[in-house]
Amino acid sequence: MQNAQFDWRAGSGFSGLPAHDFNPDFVMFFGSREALSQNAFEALRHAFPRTQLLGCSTGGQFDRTTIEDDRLIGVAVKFDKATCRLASADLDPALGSSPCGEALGAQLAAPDLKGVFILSDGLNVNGSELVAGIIRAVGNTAILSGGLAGDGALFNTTLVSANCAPRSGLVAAIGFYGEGLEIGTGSAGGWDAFGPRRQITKSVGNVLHELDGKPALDLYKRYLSAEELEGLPGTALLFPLRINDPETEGRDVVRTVLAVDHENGTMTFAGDMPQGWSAQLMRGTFDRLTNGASDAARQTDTSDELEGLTILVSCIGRRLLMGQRAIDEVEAAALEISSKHALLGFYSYGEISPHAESGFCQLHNQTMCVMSLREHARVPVA
Amino acid sequence: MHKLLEKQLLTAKQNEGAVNLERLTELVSNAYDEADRDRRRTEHSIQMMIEELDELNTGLADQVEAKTLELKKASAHLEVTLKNVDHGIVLIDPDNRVVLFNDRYLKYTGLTHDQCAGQPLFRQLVDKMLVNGEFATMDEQFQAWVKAAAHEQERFSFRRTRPDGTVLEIVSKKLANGGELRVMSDITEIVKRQAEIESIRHTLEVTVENVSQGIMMVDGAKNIVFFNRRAEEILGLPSGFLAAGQTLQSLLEYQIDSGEFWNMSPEFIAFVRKGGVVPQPQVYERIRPNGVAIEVRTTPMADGSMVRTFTDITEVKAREEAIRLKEAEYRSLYENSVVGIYRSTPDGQFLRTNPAFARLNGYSSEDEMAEKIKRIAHDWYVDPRRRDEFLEIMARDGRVYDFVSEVYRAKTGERVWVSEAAWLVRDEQGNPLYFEGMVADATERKAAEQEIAYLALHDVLTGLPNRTLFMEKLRGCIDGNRNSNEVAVLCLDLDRFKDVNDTLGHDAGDILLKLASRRLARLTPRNGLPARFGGDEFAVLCPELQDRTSLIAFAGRLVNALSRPYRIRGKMVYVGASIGISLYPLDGLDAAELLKRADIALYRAKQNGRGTFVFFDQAMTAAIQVRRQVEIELRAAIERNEFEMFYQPIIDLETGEPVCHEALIRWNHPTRGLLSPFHFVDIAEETGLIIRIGEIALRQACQVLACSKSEGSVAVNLSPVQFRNHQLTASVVAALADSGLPAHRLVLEITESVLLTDDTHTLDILKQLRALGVRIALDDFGVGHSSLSYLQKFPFDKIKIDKSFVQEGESAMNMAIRRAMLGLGNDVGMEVVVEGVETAVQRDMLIYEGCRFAQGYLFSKPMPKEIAFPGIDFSRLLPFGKAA
Repeated sequence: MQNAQFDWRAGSGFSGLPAHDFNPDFVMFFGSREALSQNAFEALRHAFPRTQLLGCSTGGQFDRTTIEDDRLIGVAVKFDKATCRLASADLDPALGSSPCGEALGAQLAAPDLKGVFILSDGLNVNGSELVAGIIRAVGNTAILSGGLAGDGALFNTTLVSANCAPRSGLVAAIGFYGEGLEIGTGSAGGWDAFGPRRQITKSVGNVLHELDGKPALDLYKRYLSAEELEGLPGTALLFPLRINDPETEGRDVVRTVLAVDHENGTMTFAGDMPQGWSAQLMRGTFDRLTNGASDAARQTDTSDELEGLTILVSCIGRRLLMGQRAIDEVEAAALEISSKHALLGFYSYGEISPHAESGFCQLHNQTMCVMSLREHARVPVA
Repeated sequence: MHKLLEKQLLTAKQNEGAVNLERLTELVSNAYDEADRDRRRTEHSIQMMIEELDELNTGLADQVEAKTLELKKASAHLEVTLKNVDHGIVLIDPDNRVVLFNDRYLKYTGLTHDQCAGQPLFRQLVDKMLVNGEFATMDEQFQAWVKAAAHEQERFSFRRTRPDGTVLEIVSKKLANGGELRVMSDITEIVKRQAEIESIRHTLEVTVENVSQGIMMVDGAKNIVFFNRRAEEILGLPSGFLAAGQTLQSLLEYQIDSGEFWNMSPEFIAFVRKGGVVPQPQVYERIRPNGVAIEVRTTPMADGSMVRTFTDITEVKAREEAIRLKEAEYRSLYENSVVGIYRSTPDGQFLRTNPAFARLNGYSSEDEMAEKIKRIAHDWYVDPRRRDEFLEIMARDGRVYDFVSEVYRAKTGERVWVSEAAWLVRDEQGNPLYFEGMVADATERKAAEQEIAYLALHDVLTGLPNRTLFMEKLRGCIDGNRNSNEVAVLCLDLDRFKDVNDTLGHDAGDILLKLASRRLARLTPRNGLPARFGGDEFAVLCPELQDRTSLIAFAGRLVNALSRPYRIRGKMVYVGASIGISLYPLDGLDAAELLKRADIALYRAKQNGRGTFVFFDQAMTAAIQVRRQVEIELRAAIERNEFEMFYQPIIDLETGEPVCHEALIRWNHPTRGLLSPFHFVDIAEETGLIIRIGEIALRQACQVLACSKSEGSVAVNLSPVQFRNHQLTASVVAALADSGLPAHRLVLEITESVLLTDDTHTLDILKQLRALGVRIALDDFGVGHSSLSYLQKFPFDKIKIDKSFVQEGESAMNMAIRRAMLGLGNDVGMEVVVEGVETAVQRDMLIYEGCRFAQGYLFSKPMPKEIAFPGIDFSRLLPFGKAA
């Protein structure tokens, strides 16, 4: 497996492009909505005329050392043996996200499918349904990872590209096939739950109405300072909720607030808020989040000295909380990844990864999710 | 240097390597802000957690207080509960000390409060109870056990009966701390109820096993959880099949596979395969392969189970079928009956009627009739009072029979007679419900009855009253007329009517009777009553007679009128009339006597020469008796063969030898000696006995002559009555055949009365006889109506001139007539015989006149056969009387 990491700026163009005879199997790229709205894709297509191209807009993209908003970063990957297939599907708001997931899964499903990396529109999707749809189509043996596209801290428009000019409402998924392929994943948050556990007594989909029979927003506001109250809903990213099914231990997920409705006292989250589940407020500190990122990266275990690719998907909430210290978690994670790996990542509106404990692929919020991809040079003959 | 600051410096470095202070300051300042915010958040979070903890603490204190209060309440409740609970409770601590008990415990153990208070050892209490005899009703084994069993088991229970009969159930539970809790319950009622339930259950079990229905219970999961033996029997299942544990489905599958539903539709089979159960109660019937009809009834229960019963309805079905057939039969009878059938209300309306009833009443349908006949009394009966009579009889007898009424027929208003048979139908309480009845058209019958009534009192032929009516009226006259007025009874008959009948036939006789009765009726006074008794017997009743003179005049007029000639089919017929008269009260006081005496007088009138009327007198009675006696004796004579033929020869005057013998009958009367026909022929003819007697004469004569050595013939006289008998020709043939006498040797002599009219019947017979070869002679020619025209009608072989033309002297007229007749006979080639020749002078004269054959005392009297034909043995001849 060979990788070539490169970047692109609107003014100066590419730097670090691989040699002309390097024919990658696919190219993955992340950039700001602004960058993608410019002629970035045309440049990429020009640079990689016959390669599968996928990418999305972000809340900031990074490599081992730097988080940048203006620069587009990308990686060109060429497998030794393994193969990949790119699929895409448009979200239809009328049908929900599940059919879209099933359509994608149907395009990718195969007995030797090892893993799928998903880049989805970040605002018009129910990530939980999307993931469930894909699992229904490909089965639960393939590893699912990926993230929802971002739009800085603006939450206006997110873009996804799959061999096409980046656009809104699209979901791209690339499937990886081959016996020699090894996929590692990791997922962690580093957030601390605090305060009493409460029960979700009323919710519709991803809209939370009541906790313990009281308007959810009223309860939530108690934990915000005056300054933070002003900043809603952006500041709500700083206080996600941990939810879990009381019937099933060890399946905790973190949910980020996307929007609040002061009039009705409801809150909209980036994933389902099932009624009957318990919910607990979370808070984060710089150090704890940084440790979380480090934990997530460590779970992928890239110590085999093989060349590989590691993609980090971190939550925009983490970046907003940490500010300039966000680079701390990137560096902490990068330290845990083999230097033989190309490493890049982006801040997302939602992370897709197997659960660290249950292994069940699902949508996460406020986590650092890591996927590493490497290929054994020789596949042992069975 | 802080790593962040390093990064900030790096970020703030400009292209030339110089640090952009402004940028650096901004970064650092932002970092401070971020740090501040992080700190504030942390502080705020800590603050919030503290608040939450406080809330929690406050809550805890409140909860402790509330719980304490709850405990206190619970304790109080426990105390009350212990006091009031229906169970005896005792709590024993691990050291076997009684720490808690309630009043009920004392009651159930017979212990006192003092004995239990102060934490005594429980086993000591048991000892006390043993001493007190608390366990006296239990056996020793139990007593030993109760003493020992205290703490051995985790939980145990037992029952015991107290000396007062109370049954206790004691449940003991070992407590976690090693103590024991005993709870005693009075289950006397429960035990009693259980026994009752057991008894009921047993009864039910026996009942269910012995009912004629098969019963099966299926639980909600379709398992067959209960069944009786009868269910297996009715369904024809192998013994033990159900007991092996079946589901409804397995049973149904078995039934399908064993052909149980052989005659059910595929839909039904499919339905059964799918479980065959619907949530509603269902009933259906089917015929098992062995022909048994069963009814399957399913009742779903609220809990999802169901009860299914199987009833053998073979007999019921058969009965139903029989009833159905019967019903159809009755319906058919009802619909197709020619008799009208109805049901009517007591207040007079038809409820139901059959087609025949509508037809009878002239309606095309029952409905049409119901529309027209609203009130039976007025719309149906011609006389509405018939309805009242109907109801009256109903009220009295509960039924009417042959209730004949006149009713209106539809539309036309035509009236018909009907006969009803009806009965009253009552409800179970005996109250009248309605009438049911049958109606038959009685119009014809009614007419026939009237006809019969008329006929019973009238003569069919003439329409005159008959004997019955006559007698009735006569009796009425006698009974209603006790004054001095006389009543006359006239008996009439027509002289020589029999001759008319015999010669012209019955049709002519009937016409004569009608004509005569018309004359009779016309002449009869207004208050009189003419009648015909039969034959030519008539009678007239003349009540309230004014005087004898007018009666005599009336009788005279009758005789004259009836004696006038009658024109019948263009021919003139002459008869006379004789009348006998009796008078009330002179000749008798009752009707029968009067009639009898008038009849005797009539007889006398006829004896007196007919054409007259005679009043009865006492002397007449004897003569009638004699006549009656003769008739009886005649019958006996035929039986006893008392008749004998005498033979008188007819002489050929040229040779002086007999050429023929006339056979003349004599009655060898047992007491009166030998009697000539004069004494009995009239009576024989009147009674018809002449036919038998005539046959006897024929046979005797033929046989005697056949036996004799005579070469001549024999002549036998025939009565006109014999010609009325169609057997005459056959009798002649038989007599000839039996005797062997050649037909030409038989001469049959008839008088002219036989030929009174040119009756073709008589002529036919004569022709038949002639065809046989028999010769026919005309006897007594010259007397009576003798007319030469008779000789034209039939070509006689022989004429016998009456003796009056010989014996009554030598008058010129007699001689002229005799000579004319002799000449006539010679001219046409007929033998002429002169009868009654008694003297030689007469014989010589006849010879002189050219007469060839003569008969008379001069030659011989009639003689018995032995003398007439001497030397012949007649003993081989059969007795003549029996021969017929």
